[in-house]
Amino acid sequence: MHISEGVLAAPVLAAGAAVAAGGVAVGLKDLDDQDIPKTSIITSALFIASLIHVPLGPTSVHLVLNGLAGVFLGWKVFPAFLIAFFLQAVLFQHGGLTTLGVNVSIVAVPALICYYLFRSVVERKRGGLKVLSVSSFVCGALGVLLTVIMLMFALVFTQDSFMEMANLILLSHLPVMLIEGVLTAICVVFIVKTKPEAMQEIELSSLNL
Amino acid sequence: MSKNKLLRISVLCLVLLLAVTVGVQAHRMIVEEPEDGQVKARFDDGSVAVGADVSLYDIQDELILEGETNEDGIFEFEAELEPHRVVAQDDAGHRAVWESGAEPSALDALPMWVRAALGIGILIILGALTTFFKSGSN
Repeated sequence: MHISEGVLAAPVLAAGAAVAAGGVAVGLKDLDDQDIPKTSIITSALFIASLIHVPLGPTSVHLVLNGLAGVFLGWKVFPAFLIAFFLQAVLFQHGGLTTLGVNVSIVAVPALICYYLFRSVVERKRGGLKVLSVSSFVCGALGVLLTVIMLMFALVFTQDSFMEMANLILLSHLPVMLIEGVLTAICVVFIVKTKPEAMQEIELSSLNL
Repeated sequence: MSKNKLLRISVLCLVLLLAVTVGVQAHRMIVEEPEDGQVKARFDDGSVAVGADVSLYDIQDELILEGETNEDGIFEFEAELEPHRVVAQDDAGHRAVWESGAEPSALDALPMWVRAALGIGILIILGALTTFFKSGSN
């Protein structure tokens, strides 16, 4: 889910950088002392996630983990992805420095949508383990789906064959959506049961676990 | 669950994640050096770039040939063309350039697990510094 240098048009790069800069500013303002260990651990997971690839025919796709990161971090997902992608660009030449803003935006905006969706479902709907696991599964899968859609929008200005590209990217990410949905559900249920303080931004008291 | 226990579980998860990823490469497109009228575009996880657009440029940086890679990630051209620069790009936003005489990055010489560990080290230092400065300002 990384766009390389020299692929995108300048207005797309500028728009991506502006969105990322705004998100990072809000995220850093939102960052408390007690959030730092959690944010650091999730940033490390995001940094490593792109090394875990899912073989798919002649090619492969890698994990994104933006739905999972969004549920745990909220707005702090912007600085987390910025640092993770910067290190990936420098150490792995994965993505690029000029495309950093766009790459951060296409994963962090869906992550934020997942955060608000998860929060509204968990806080409003009375339920138990089922509601928690289904909503986290949906967030994990939705994060990847929305990222794929944003990736296609970023590329539509420079790619000629839009439908061909859309089919290719969407189909190749279906297994990733499934894997990330399951992974997010497992992680959220585990953390809510063992360390609910890690999700202090979300009101979990209405859940009947 | 105590803080120490959570920390131990987190470190164990990271170590396991690193162990799983050793030998597995990131998804970066690479154009290999053209040889005998063939140039190969692949990803650094070992998979090949099928159907990627390939452009060949001469020493004056003028386009001399365009085409697509086949199912083996190979684009064939007449051997006497001798491209100075080759650019490959796929539909998913991956792009790679090979240029004659370009020096490879010093980081490329390091194994992937060393680079991953270096990144984790930088993140730990960054986390520690942020904690230090945030607690100082409070």
